Amino acid sequence: MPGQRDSIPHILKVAVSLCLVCALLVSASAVLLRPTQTRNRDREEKKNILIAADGIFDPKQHTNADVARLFETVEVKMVDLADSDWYVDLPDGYNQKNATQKSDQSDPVPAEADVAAIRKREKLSYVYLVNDKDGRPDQVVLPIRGYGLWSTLYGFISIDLQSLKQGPEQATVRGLTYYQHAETPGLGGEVDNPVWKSRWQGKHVFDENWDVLVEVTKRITEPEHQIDALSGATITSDGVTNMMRYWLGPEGFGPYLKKLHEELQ
Amino acid sequence: MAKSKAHDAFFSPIFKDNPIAVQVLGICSALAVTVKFEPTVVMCLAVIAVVALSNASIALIRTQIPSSIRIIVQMTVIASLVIIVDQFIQAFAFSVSQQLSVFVGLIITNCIVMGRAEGFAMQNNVKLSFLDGLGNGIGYSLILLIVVTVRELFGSGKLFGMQVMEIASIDAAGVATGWYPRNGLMLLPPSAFFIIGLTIWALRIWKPEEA
Repeated sequence: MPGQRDSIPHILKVAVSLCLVCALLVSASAVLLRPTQTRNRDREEKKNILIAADGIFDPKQHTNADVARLFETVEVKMVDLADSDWYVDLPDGYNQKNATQKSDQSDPVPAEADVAAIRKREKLSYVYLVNDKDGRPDQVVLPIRGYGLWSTLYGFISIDLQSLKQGPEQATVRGLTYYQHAETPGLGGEVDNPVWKSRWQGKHVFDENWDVLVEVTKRITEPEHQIDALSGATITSDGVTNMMRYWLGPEGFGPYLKKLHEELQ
Repeated sequence: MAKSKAHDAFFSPIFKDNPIAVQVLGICSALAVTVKFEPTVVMCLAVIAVVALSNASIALIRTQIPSSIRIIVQMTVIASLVIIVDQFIQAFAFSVSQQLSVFVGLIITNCIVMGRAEGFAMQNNVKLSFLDGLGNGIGYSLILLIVVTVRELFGSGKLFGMQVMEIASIDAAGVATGWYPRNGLMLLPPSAFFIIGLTIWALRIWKPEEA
């Protein structure tokens, strides 16, 4: 028996059939569970949009079951970043994260402008408008991303609309959150720290010429637009500053925010 | 005879031959996932499922496995099971799956799983191997639950995920709340080493013959 068991045809037979069975089981579980997983990821993203929007979702009060209800107050719009065009129609099944992998949906970012090290920027981006209880435009949540130390950080930043209406030098941050990154836990990973994130609230974003001023720094000299850096995480902190410069600047949502300011007048 | 064999296969890895406390296997994940109660429980269930099912499947095909490729066959079975378990966790315990991140995938390299497949399932029938896997998974979980109980209680003032000791802090309004100053060491992986060490010590005093 052992001789026959170790014969080459038998080895091949066992290897091939084992691979087939395992592959079948793994792909079946992946395919069958995908809808549930996609739903989870969608909910997680919506939850983070709501957390960035000045804590509409408060982890202390709300659970995952509240996400859909709370998200009803959010208006989802699409902005054409390439032409800095006003809202465009929502394309069916558009996946912003995959857009950078498709040449017809994204543009390469020139090296000198690529401060956030993203290499490619999608042409269309979602923006999320939030109205207050009286139906007045309250804040806009923008998706941002950029490289830190080990990974690309994905997050959302919320800009206050009533202060943006008054002019670029008045515009303030309402909230910031990161929902995906692989920075060092305890150091760069502290971008998730609620205390640190709360320091962003009320920081001024621009000067009067729409140049991005908000930044993370070790020595605060101008507290109205500087946030204390994360200790032991210089590179992650710089990454956060860089992604603000990029996404709120002329290459990112700068032109859109400018138009939004005019629209609000 | 058969009954006592099955009994042995299931119970001996829980206390007498505990994979962590006696064989000192699978320490890596015991350090990493034992800060909070909920992820630890999910991790334990995942390991129990993987080691029991891998043992049973390996035992099922043990007479067919050519000895020259047996390790690869075991790895393939284990890796497939881990991916399936990971898919289930991502679907039904999404927030926990984010906290566990890579550690679910790392069950593949958990020495307990491989060790039981090669050391037990290759020689024993399906029923015994399944019980042995179950016992080893539960033995592993037992130690993890001891570690997480201590770490969570002293590190974040919680017991089974519920706040029992109010953490001393200063809230946004500048008012001091709570009374328990948290022990930061307990939140860091090395504390699990100390707790596992003390557990092994306690176990050897209780059952000196296993030392």
